[in-house]
Amino acid sequence: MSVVDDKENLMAKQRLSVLGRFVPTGLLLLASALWLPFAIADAYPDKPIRLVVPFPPGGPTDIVARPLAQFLGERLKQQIIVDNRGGAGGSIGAELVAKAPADGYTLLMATVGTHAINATLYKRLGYDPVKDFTPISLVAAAPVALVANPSVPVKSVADLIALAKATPGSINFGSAGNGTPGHLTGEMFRAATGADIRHVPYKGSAPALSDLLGGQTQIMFDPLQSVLSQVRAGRLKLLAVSSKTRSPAAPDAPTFAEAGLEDFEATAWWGVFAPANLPPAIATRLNTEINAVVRSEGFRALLVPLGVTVSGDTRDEFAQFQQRELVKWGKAVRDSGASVD
Amino acid sequence: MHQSLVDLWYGFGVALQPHNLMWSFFGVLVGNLIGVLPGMGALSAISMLLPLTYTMHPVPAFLMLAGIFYGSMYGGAIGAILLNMPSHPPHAVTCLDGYPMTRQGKGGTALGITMIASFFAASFGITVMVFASPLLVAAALKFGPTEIFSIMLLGLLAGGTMARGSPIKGVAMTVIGLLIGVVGTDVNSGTIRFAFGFPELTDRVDLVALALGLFGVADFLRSVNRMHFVGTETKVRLRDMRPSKAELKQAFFPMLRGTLIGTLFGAMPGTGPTITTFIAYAFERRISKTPERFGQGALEGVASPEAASHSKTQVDFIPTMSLGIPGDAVMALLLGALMIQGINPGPQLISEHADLFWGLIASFWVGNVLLLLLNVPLIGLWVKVLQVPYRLMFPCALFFIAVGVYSTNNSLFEVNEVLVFGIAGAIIMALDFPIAPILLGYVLGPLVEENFRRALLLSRGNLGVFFERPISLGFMTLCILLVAAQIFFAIRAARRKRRDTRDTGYRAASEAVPLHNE
Repeated sequence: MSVVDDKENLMAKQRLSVLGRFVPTGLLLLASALWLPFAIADAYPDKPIRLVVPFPPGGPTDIVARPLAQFLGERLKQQIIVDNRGGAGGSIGAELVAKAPADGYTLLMATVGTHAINATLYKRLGYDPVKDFTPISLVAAAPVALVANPSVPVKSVADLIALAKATPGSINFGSAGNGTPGHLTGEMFRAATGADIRHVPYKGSAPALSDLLGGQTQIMFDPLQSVLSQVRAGRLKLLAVSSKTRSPAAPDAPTFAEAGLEDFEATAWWGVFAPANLPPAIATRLNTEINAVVRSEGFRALLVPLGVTVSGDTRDEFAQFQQRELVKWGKAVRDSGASVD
Repeated sequence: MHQSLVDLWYGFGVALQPHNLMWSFFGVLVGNLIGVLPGMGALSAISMLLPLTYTMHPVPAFLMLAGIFYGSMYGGAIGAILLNMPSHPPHAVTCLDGYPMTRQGKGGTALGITMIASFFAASFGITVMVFASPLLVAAALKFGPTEIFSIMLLGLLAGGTMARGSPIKGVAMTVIGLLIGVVGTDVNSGTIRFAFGFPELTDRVDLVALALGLFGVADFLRSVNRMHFVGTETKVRLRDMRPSKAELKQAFFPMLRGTLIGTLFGAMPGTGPTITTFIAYAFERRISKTPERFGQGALEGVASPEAASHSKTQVDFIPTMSLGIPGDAVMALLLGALMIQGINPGPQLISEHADLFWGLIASFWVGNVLLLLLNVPLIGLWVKVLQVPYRLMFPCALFFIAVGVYSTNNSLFEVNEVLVFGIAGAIIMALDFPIAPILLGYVLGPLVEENFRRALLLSRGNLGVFFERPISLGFMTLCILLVAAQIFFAIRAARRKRRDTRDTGYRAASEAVPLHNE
């Protein structure tokens, strides 16, 4: 698929159209027969691809999707349009892709929410996270951060738990929506500590964050990359991260285990899914290209400083990973008692 | 103050990028044409071009859509003055003195004064916008779900009650709009509501289909037998359009007064442009030493309402973009267009989408200059377009509506939606219900619901929260005052009706002009 091949092919196609007018049909057929296999293999993508981000712009999913769209577009030599379709914890955007034609021109920037949590959390979901999709590749993962508005008088997780117990009903936590990793981490936190905190869902991280900054909500659980710039600017306090070890992007923040919550761990991830029954040739091509993007320096340089770990995998590995996540988060949903009403 | 100028300078940088400039130019050109054509409001034009913007960057998309809006304001005056044809309701009042001037051979002067007044008023409106907006930014973070709900409630109430006609009918239509806005998937739980088994309805009722049905098709259905062919022999030369010194002097203060009235009304949510121009006209007539000249071709009667409509149009963008409460149906549609692009209106819009906001403001000036230059050579052409008979023009417009709607999703479902809304709209209008509040309710509905639920979650179900927080309390007080004022006016009107049935000349004159589409 090098540049040279593509150019040759393009020239050949131009040649074809000229031949078609001036030489006998037989020759044309012969030429077509010769070029046909190449034409099919190289036809995709011949028009812009839509990458549906199931949240509004500016959130953690968008932060991962935009560089991916840019670099993947460069590799596929086609424009990739990011289409933000927020709502219902990502399930509105996911359902849209589930019902789209499986031609490789509609892809989903899926999240742990759309493809592992929602299936258990929502009573009626408009899509099946396994049957309605073709898994393409994992792209990135990040810990969930617990942040607080500076006006909340706490310095640590222990302070927060104490405050929530001392003044019940005073602390609300915003999230990017029902079923997002932020929501579930918050519910797990509530179940584990018994702190009286109330969930307030938003359409996505960006609107939830602006209400946190404005002091409408007091704390928020959200993937690290979406809150880090506000933490560095001193507009939010970072109390803990949900990874096993501290994040290199925020080495001062303790893990939940260090803060006294044993075995409290959660990882948000992002991957690309296409509608079910995507032709294997296209799926393989996309997997190869996405893995190349994920390995590239340019992509890493944009995401790693934000606390995101980037990693691709094979399609089979990704499918197995999703199965494990479905089981794991299904249990987390039931154990935490999270529900959507 | 200084920061505003820096931001404005940045805005000019955005607006003058060739790509953005091109779309701005396209917008004002289309708007100008649409404004002249009868039965084709800015609303239909914007909704038809809306699908085109789905794949565009928000900045050029919005510059174009806004250009159509204020471009149509200029166009509307042309039809009103030269042909006695109020193709856009706010200009109905311009007919009263503009057309007599044309019959006296002073049509060119009237147009010239209109353009000067419009440009002056628009510039003033933009200036107000530049300096008022930063004040709102400061308040941005104080706006939580509680405040947003209260202000939306105020916007809905104002939109429903302050339009022409019965306030109760207005509120009823707002509620219908809210109900239509509920159709689709719930953003919190993903539950599908009121879709009646149509998969197409899970993604909300289509904005374009609703707007085109209610404002395009419904209007055609109603006016199809009432419109008659308008011929004109008017020839306007550039030379005629330059007003004399005396005329300029005569028009200056009316222009200033009109501008101020427009600015005041622009800042008030819910007051449509038609009310604004009628009030500007009535005011001018009342303070005039020679009120008998009005209706006979008084220059003041053209300058003041035209200035009012233009300053109102520009200032209207402040509550629309920074508070999320649109002044009229076109603004509601523009708001819908913003939300489709994933941009939520509100005080944070100015800081989060600085390129859009300041680019838009700068483009107003650029667009107004373009319009000034365009109008002179194009008037002759527009007048020719008007000679196309309605039996050809209406079917063409309907055809374009159908194509435009089909292209939003490449499905016939939306075309049927337009038809349903068109017929419903025609019936609603025939019963003398206002249409605009439906669109307002539809656009604001999801925001109202989302913020109401969130405010109650935050307060743990305590409804009193809307009266406890100071900013919210302020809006709620305004809501109550608004309702009280409506009741007071209704009682007073009923008493006065009993006392006398005398009608003023102005009212008779204004009712002689067909007023629909509001």
